[in-house]
Amino acid sequence: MFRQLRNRRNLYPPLVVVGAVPMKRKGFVLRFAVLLPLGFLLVVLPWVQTHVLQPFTQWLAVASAALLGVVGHEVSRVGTIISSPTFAVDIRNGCNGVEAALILVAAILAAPASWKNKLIGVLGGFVVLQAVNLVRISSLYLLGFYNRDLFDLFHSAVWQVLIILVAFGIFVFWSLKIAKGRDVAAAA
Amino acid sequence: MSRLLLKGLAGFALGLALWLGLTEPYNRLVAVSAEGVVRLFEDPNRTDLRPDGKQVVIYRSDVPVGTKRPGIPLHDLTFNVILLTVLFAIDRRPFSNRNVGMYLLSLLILFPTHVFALIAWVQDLYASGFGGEISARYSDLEKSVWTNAILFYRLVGQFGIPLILRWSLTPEGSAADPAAPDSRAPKKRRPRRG
Repeated sequence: MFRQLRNRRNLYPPLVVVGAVPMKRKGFVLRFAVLLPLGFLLVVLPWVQTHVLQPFTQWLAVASAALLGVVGHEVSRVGTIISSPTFAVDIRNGCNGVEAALILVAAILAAPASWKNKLIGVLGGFVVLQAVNLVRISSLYLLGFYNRDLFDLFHSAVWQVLIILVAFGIFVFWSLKIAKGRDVAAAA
Repeated sequence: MSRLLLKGLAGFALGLALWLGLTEPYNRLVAVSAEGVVRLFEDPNRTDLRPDGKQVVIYRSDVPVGTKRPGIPLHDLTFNVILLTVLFAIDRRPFSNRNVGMYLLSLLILFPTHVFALIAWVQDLYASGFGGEISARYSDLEKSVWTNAILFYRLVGQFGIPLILRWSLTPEGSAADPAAPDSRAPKKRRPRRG
């Protein structure tokens, strides 16, 4: 049967492979596609916005301001706004890394692994992701300070894609090196 | 690892060039398609979506001339093409017929999602942004649905779709495969006979 699929795949590449997604992968993709909207519904709850995301975003602003201070840019911070006399950024949903975190968590929860490994992936991945996000926010502030055109490009596209790629990279690393390896080792 | 990074960088550069270079003609195509779909549900037809650089400006025939026209930054809805390009560029054999075919198929699938995102944003503006008689035609449920639809797309949907396409259209065992066998994992040894 697999040989037949392989032969058919060679004849009609775009059409046949869609129907021939192996069940294991199909299950993962379906779980991911269900978990992502569920995660979204969770983060748009007013209570989560007020009690979790807003304080967290303020903390990000504090940390970003501190990081900018380390590289020699003294800025002031009010709430989620980092500013200097010539430029200011307001960190909102989408800039606080919540979108990348949701993608990462949905992918890890959807993957076939033990709950212990999933927890390691979610917690470790979140820390790494937010460390990168701090660099993102600080670099965006610096870009805006020196070059507004570059700021627009990096803010609206480049960093958004990069942060998702970081989440994707963390997931691939986790699935290949942590979840899979240990699960297989435990089962052996 | 360095080859993977190089492939990723090349994919990123290609995706960025595609997105920047084709933004204006692509915006026209998305705007015309979205306008056609919105008009299917309008009687009489009021919506006129006109691309203006990176934006799509909403002209409505029942809004007085001189009123400020709201614009939608369409490039904010379409940049996931860069992510999609990177995801296919990091394949083990990025230039194989299969991978290129799947990438082109993914681009085709991405197009209606961009049209839908623009429709959702237009409807959200009609429901909540225009006010007056236009917004009064929408129920609270409709307002909530359109607002959350565009919010979902912008927050996670536009990133989730390329990932789902990548995972659905590439074979098992590729770099992005959650079920890929780990080469470092200890393998069961066959017991020796004799």
